[in-house]
Amino acid sequence: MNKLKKNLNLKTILRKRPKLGIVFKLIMYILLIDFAFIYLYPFLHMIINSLKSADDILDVSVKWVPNELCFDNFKLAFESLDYVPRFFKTLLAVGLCSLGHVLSCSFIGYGFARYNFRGKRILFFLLILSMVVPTQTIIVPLYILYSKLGMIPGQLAIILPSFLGFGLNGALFVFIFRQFFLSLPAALEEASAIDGCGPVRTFFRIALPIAKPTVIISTVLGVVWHWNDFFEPGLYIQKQKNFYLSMILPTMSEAVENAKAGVQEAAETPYTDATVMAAVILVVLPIFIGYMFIQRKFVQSIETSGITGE
Amino acid sequence: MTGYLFLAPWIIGGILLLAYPLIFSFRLSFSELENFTTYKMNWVGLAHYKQAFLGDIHFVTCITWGLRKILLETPIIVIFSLIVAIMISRNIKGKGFFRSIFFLPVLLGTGYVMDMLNQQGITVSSMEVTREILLSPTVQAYLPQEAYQFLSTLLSYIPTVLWGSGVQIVLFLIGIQKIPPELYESARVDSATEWEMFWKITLPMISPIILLNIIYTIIASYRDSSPLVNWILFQGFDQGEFEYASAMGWIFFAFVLIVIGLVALCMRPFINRVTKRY
Repeated sequence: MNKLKKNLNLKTILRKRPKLGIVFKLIMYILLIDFAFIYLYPFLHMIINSLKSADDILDVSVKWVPNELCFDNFKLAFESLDYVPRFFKTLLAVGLCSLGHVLSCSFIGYGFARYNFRGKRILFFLLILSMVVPTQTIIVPLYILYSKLGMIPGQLAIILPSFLGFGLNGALFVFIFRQFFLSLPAALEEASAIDGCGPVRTFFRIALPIAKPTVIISTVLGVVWHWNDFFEPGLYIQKQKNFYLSMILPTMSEAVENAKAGVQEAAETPYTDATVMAAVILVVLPIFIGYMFIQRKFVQSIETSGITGE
Repeated sequence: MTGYLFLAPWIIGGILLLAYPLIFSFRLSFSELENFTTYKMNWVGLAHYKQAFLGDIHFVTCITWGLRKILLETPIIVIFSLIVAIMISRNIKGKGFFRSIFFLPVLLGTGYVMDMLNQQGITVSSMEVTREILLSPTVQAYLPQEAYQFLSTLLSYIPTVLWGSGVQIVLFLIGIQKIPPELYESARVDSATEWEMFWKITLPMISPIILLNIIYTIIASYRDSSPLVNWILFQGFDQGEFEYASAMGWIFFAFVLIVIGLVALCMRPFINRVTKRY
């Protein structure tokens, strides 16, 4: 009788955490540690390689512990990247692009989530379609269009699309914002509408601040993607002087590859694999530092923002 | 009407940056440019498409490579990122540590940095690990040649798969967090096991995100450099064969559309069931 009572007590059942078998738990931790190892391994490799001297990098027996720590690689990479001026150039462009993405994509996503109008289904289908179109298919006409508009060479061709909800993964951001606004009850916005707030003002005053978690997620993703991107900028910005940080990397590693392959002109290159690795680390360093500051917020946002289905 | 107001930037962008280039490159793929100042085109029919399939030894290998990559890697990446997302969504010890490691590919996994990691670290070094630890000569001696080959290719895929699944893990994690806890509670009251709850609650509830992730994985597989992309760019910008480059772009687009369309068709009944029920 007593036992039955215990079982019937709903509260105790609900409070009980799900019991995982010890074997299951063990497997889970082993898997997690394994995966973490695979993620960290190349990264550690990169850091170690960047600290090797030119002799060590050619020496097969030197793997994890270099004979001497060689910080000259970083110095050389720092100089050949032309780091400081390029850093600010990149920062400005990436900032503008991400700002454009967040503003336009939240705006458009809100429209998709909250309003009903004719052709909404077709437009949404087109949105998904625009996500799928390979840039390679339309890069030629885009290039022609931009050069007709007089935006090539220049940065405008990279920044403008992000303010229209296009550009690097723009459609994905629209989708994420739409899903967030769909899962949000409309009560607050209705209240502000009753108080005489227009739709655009309601969006900027009420909806966008509520969407803060999603804004954080898409800002982080947008900044990272734009920061690492070199394909479209490489086509549109043609002067080496105006290149962004990540766009210098291919030229450096190409020189190293050429020198290895024995191409005459590249034989004199001061770069080694270690320099390239140091340059890669220098390029991603700002992202790491920025991420460290925002990490807590980012993880929190993932926990609170919702992308539910349809 | 206000709906159109909110969509206005997207519609303008869509006409300017999507519809116009698409139509332009479609027309371009069927014609020959007369000169590069006025872009006057002369109709040549299917000549470029014929050239792609019959005259170009590079193109067919590139496109089969790209498609094989999509078909092989997408399911592995999606399943893997789902497993990881479920594991780190639980209350485990060292949750913060694991999460920050699993978000590493989000920060590093795109663009040139990813290429460098691929070249230097991932492929080479992890191949070493698999060679030395998992598939040591002893193992090789006891396995049939075919099985060994199969295993080593499978293992060499793992790092690429892992590094390609950063964003997918984030998206899955967001989806899992959003499943109402009441569902699990009521299932627990009915004495469902973890295993049953996964198949009956978690999986159906995140099926729309599975579709999103499949689409994203396919897109990501050709967004950065791949042989086909490089070939198209080489033809278009180095050789000046804009017409041929757009024809190849369209062929590739058609293949991708077919793959994604098939996936979406197969997933549709599951997703509809979920949206109807909840």
